[in-house]
Amino acid sequence: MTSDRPPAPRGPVQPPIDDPDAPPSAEELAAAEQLRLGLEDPGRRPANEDAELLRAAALAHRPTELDPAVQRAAEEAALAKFDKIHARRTGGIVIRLTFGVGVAFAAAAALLLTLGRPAQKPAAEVELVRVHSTQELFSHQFEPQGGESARIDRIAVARAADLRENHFARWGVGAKERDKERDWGRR
Amino acid sequence: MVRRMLPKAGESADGDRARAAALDAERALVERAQSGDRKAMGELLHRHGPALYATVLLPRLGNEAAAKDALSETYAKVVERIDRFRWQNVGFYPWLRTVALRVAIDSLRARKRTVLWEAEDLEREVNANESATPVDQAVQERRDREEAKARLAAALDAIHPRYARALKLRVLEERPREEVAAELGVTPATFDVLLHRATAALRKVLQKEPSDDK
Repeated sequence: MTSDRPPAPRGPVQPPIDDPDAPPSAEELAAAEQLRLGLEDPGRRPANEDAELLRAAALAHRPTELDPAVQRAAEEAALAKFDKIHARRTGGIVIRLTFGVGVAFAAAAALLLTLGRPAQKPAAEVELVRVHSTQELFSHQFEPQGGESARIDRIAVARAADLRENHFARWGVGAKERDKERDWGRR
Repeated sequence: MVRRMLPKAGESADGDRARAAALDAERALVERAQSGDRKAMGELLHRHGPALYATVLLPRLGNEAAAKDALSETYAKVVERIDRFRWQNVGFYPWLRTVALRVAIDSLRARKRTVLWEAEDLEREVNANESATPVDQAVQERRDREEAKARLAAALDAIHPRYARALKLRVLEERPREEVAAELGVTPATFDVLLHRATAALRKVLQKEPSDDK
């Protein structure tokens, strides 16, 4: 079966753009009216694409000036962002500086503790218990036989006490220092 | 009127001196802004905003609202990236303009409306800028204005002369509909049809790929 009616167009109707005097179709008349309304009222919605294109051409030919109020608002918004960015950077620097200064102080304190600690007096300067005779440990004559172990034990205890006292003296807490502190406590 | 910030190069010895002094002052302003000086940053934006809007963003985006949004976006990117800017002896404007062009590319891609420029045109322009020697603001502004008019003229030259005349009178000269219709010797209703056809012809020319000409 065939029909006399022309087939429906598959896409939007294109105006005969090469012939200005060709008679317009109904669609063309409607589109021309929409363009007229769009040009007369730029705020009209929905926006007419043809009117927008012509407005773009007009703006390229003669651009409008930027409204000072719009410029001020854009500047203020950008500067608010600038403040935020800068505050963040400054904050970061302050934190890093604080941390750095803290670390530097800690390192300096550690260095002072290590290097500035009163040096242990060399053994020569410390008054140590000198090697001495063990005779003073014994006030009586030894028996010809027996009692050796007891004597050796006594000597070992005395030598251990001397050794301990020498250690204390090297560490600065020898008998003399303890006596001084005791004196201070009594005052 | 768009302010000219720097005197033109080569105008005279006095002009050159004034230009050098203005460049020095702008450089100091940029350095202050880079170190966090809010006032200096504001001054830089205030100086160059009107030119960016009128000669870079508005002609390329073809829409005032889009151009205003793009200007705000450009400002935002500039304050974010000011510390990356390295001074060249042509001032701050060329860098600012490149930032604005990149913002305009994004805007054109998002809107997908036919205007005189397409995103690809701007990409080519940004790429060309990267390899070209930057020029100062006054020269660049003049080039931008001439480029916009040349594009429009080329498109009008490519359509039927009667359409071009209708567009020139009604759109570029902004003359009333009835007056233009009378000048073209048609009724206002017929003129509406003529303008509609002229717009369709203009769109077809603008949408033509550059390779179509070959």
